[in-house]
Amino acid sequence: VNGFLLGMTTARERLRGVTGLGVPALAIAVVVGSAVVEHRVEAGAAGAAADVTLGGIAFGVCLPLVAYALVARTSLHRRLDDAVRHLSRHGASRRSAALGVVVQTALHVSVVGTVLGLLAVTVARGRLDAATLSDALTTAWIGALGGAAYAVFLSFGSLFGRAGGGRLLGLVVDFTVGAGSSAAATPWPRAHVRSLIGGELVLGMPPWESTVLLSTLAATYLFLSVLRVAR
Amino acid sequence: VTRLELTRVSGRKLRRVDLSLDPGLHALLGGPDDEARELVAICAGIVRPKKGTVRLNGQRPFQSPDTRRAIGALLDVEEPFEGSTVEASVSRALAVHRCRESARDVLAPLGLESFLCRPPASLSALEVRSVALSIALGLEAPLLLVLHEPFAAGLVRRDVEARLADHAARGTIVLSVMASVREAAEAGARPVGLRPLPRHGHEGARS
Repeated sequence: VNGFLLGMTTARERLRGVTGLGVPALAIAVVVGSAVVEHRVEAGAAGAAADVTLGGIAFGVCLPLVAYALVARTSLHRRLDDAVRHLSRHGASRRSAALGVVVQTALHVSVVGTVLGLLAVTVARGRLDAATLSDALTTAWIGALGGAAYAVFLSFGSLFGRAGGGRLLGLVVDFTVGAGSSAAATPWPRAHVRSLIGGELVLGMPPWESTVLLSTLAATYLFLSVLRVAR
Repeated sequence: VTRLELTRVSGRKLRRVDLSLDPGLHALLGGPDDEARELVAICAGIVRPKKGTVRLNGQRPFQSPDTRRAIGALLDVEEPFEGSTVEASVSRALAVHRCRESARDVLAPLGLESFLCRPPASLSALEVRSVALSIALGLEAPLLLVLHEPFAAGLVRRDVEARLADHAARGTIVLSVMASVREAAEAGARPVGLRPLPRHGHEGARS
């Protein structure tokens, strides 16, 4: 029996509860509400309404918070390696099981990020035309990549502290240091997600470099998470 | 020959322990409850010892999934199972252990067949312990069974005694935390002192 697949199954089961469904639903409601308001405020400037919604409530607030809530849920609000104890005590590799949990959570948050991006753009623009479709598709993959990066980053944080308190610290650092555009903002997902949706660039890097860097960061956090968990 | 060796092992509450056990039935006595509790989790590879090494046939359980697969454990407080039904949860645990028996094969002989269809969340703490003990006792050829008060897990005592004796006879190291010297004697277990055992008059293991 494969520890990785058992880890994925475990995460899926944990995400079926109130947190797994309720938190994304709440985030979607908040983003749609905000997009409607922005559409009215920025009447005549549909692009600006979409940018404000994406950079503010959708990817600036809801995506990291949803990622935090779902990672905390799949980690049972404790350390990630302790959260797979029910498998590891019977002989599953902790590393494989934890990897399965992280990957499944990242997939889940990716889907939420995609939905948030699509809804934010279409509702804020208020019409379905070629420009909206193109913008929505671009935003969808940014949401997917950003969601996965946040899930992996916060899962890595869950491996610090006796009860996984590093997860909350990671979120706080991302909100504060990641809001900048200097070298200090480079390791945090927020800076690159903002750059990708047309916000301030990180160290003047073009968006494609931020894409590569965000993907590399996600892979690195995943690798470090696996290394940090005992077999 | 299977051998469990603890060398200068200590934990958050566990003070230094040196122990070497061969196959057979051993009763752990003579220490405070929280130390025994931690020792069980350390021997089972669930918790990493703060200092020292635990080796089962030369392998460290905490670092070796294959070794943990050959260990059956019962903690003092077991976490609730996850999954849709108890049968699904037990099947998953048995599959990880690479045990060919089904959940029904393991639970029914111990009188727990009625648990199979229940959601795990509906089990009481004692029922969770009884299911966890059934999984440990149902393993095909474990190297080590490390159990915290197995006679206080809600199963029929003579069934548990018979299973433990059977495993011990087949070369498994059975290490059980027991409440008293008398209980150990009744089970036919060799007493192992976590701390020096009291010499006279006092037969309780808890100080």
